[in-house]
Formats: sequence, C-alpha cells, structure tokens
Amino acid sequence: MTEDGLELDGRRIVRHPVLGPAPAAQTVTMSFDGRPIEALAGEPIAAALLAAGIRAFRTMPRTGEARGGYCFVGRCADCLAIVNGEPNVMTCLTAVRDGTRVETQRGLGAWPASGNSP
Amino acid sequence: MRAVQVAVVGGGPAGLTAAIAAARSGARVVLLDENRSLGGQLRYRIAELPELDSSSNRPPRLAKALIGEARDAGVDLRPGTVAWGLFADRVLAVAEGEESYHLEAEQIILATGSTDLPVPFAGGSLPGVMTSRAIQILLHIHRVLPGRRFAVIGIGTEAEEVGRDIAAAGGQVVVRIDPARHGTDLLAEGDDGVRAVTIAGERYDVDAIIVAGGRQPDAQLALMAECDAGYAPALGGIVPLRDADLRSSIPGIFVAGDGAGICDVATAIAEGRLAGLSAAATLGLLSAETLSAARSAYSNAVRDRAAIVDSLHAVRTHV
Repeated sequence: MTEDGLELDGRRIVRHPVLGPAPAAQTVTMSFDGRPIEALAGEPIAAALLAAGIRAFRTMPRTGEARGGYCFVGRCADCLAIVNGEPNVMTCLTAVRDGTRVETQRGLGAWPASGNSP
Repeated sequence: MRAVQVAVVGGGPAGLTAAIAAARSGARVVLLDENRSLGGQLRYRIAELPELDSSSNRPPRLAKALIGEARDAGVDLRPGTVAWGLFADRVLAVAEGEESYHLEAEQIILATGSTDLPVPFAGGSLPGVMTSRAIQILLHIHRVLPGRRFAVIGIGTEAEEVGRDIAAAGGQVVVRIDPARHGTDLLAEGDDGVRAVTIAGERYDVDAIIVAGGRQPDAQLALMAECDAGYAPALGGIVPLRDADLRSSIPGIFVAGDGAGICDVATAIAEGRLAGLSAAATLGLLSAETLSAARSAYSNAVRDRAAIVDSLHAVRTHV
C-alpha cells in the first residue's frame, strides 16, 4: 500500500485512496479463448477481461481491426464478444458467472443453431 | 397497461430529487433507471463537487442519501429497468428484466442524463481508447485500472477531474491533448490495443487513451414524444424547450437535469426539485403559492440556466 492508501494487485484496485477497500466478491473462473481467467462473480465480463490484461474482444467484419470496450454503458457495441457460444453479447453489461466462456468474435459472428425464436 | 400518477425516467441527481419532491407532495411515484444501481453520475464520480456545500459534495455519499430519501418518501424504485419509448398520451414502453410492458403516467419527468461526445481521430477506435465515463466506471465501480500510461484528450473540468481520478488509482497521465488544437495531427497506433499516440510529430508510449470531449443531452424520449426542441450549443446540443415550471411543450411531460441541457449536479438537483413539485402541482397536490415559491427558488439558484431555458424559445424558430 502506498502512502496515500492505494493498493493494487495487478490491474485490480484492492484499496482506493478515496473509496477504501474494494467490496468483497467471490472469485470465480471464466475463460477467454479457452484460457482460464480469474474473475469476480457479478462484475461485467469486459471489466474481468481488462483486469486480465485482455483489451481486444472482437474484430471488424471488413478490416479485421480489433475492438474493445469504449463506452461501458451499453451504447457503442465495441465490446461485443461470443459468450457461452452466443455472438454479439454486450460484455460491458453482462455479468460474469462461474464457468462463463468468452471467445473473440471475428466479424459479425454466427448465431448458434437453435429451434427457439429470439 | 400499467398506470401510475408520476413516472420519473432516470435515477441520477435530477431524477431522484424529482421523485422525492413529487412523492413528498403526496403523489404515487415510480422511478425507472436502466442501470443496475441508482445514482447516475453519482455512482462513478468521486471528486468533491465544488458546486455543492460540504454536507453533500461527495458523489457516493450524496447518491446514498438521495436513494434513502426516495425510499423513505415511498418512491417505487426500479433500477435495471429501461424506458425505451415514449408514445402519445404519456405512455412509456418499459423493459424490466424479462418483462416488457406499457406504463401510462399522468405526469412524466424525464431525467435521462447525457452521453459522452466522441472525438474523432486516427486510431480512435483501437481497444484501450475509452470515454471519461468508461474509465470512471472501471476505476470506481469495478475497481479495475485498465492501463498504466494514459493520454487524456480534452480540456476543461471534466478532463481535469478524470486526470485526477486516474492518478489517484495509480495510473500516469503522460500527455493531455486539446482536441480543438490537435484534432487532425493526432494519431493513435497499435494492433490489438493502443500502444502509442503521436501528437504534432511527438510520440508518447501509452496503453490507454481517455476521450473527455464533453457530453450531449440524452433527449431521445422527449424527441420521440414530439416535444418541441431547440439547438443550444451552451447546453450541449438539441434540447427540449421548457416553460418556467420545466414543462415541455407536451402537457404532463417535464424535463430536468442533463437531459434538458448539460449542467452541474447542483443545477440538476434544483431542476429535479422544481420538476417534481410542478408535476405534483399539476395533479392538484400543491398550492399555486408553494409552486410559485419553488419556481423563484429555482431561478434564483441557477439564474444563468433559467435565462438560457427561457431564451431557447427564441432559438426554436431557427431549427
């Protein structure tokens, strides 16, 4: 911990000089492109990915350029990714659960085969 | 179709204050907010608000106090609820969890807040580029520091606040950029994320770029309801026109806070209070004298704003 009360664990702010200690949260395991990642239950997927040092969540359909989170309030759609097999999930608004599987979305993504209407 | 006396859309400082004022006057009030927690900008800002006195100038504490007051006043608080449409006859289209329904309200107070304005520049869509609100949400709600070396694009109080927020959380602001001076000679580079920013030929290694380009009012619901609107650069763009009671051109629809023009938190609270009392007065729950006093209190508290609101009616002819 530094003099001003800041304590970091990698990219996690364990203790903030103004806000104090981070609220207790259960640690769970999710995955990104098959690689296991530690995350906090209930936090947005995008926050968990950034905490793990992952910035690119999808690529553009034509140019292949990478995109990650931009607005974090559900407006911009830069943070879309494949979550549990379903593409175009807004990761800034979708909570992590134990076992959540996230994959990089290449282009528009393919909807999983399903007999259900949307 | 569900029905309520007063529906407030938005649970930031304006919406919460409006709901409290209407409920304390005796109205049945429901408050809808799309986010999972209430407080709006007070959820993710932490810097002391210079426009408020020391008893209420800490955003997280102020949010807690307002939410508590709203609950005590009997407001039906519904976070995680999106009001996605506003149709004729004051019918809101609402999505709440797995449910979708229409809500008819005798009075509606729109306190929908604002959205960050983008700043266009080469490389500006790379991962690692994000808005000032995004970084505040990450740092203060989710407690994640997404980079070490930051560039901040923007000048003024918002950019300064977010710069201090980054420093407090252990990040380093290595360069501040005035978009008005360096819009075209600004280049962000990287592959799967930003690695450097070049400005006027000078290159800085950064792993995050924060865009603090100001905000624009979220006036969509008012526009969908066909409230008259005007363009006011001083208020951040297109805003609904309002009378001295903060009523839009459509009877029964009031607008308060950033959604009616970008303002500080003190102004949002002053507007929320007047809008809530105006709605209650329209329902016959408040005397004309009380409303008149509230109207004077508002225009005294935020004289400049009240003047702009008033002058917009002249602007209207130009849009």
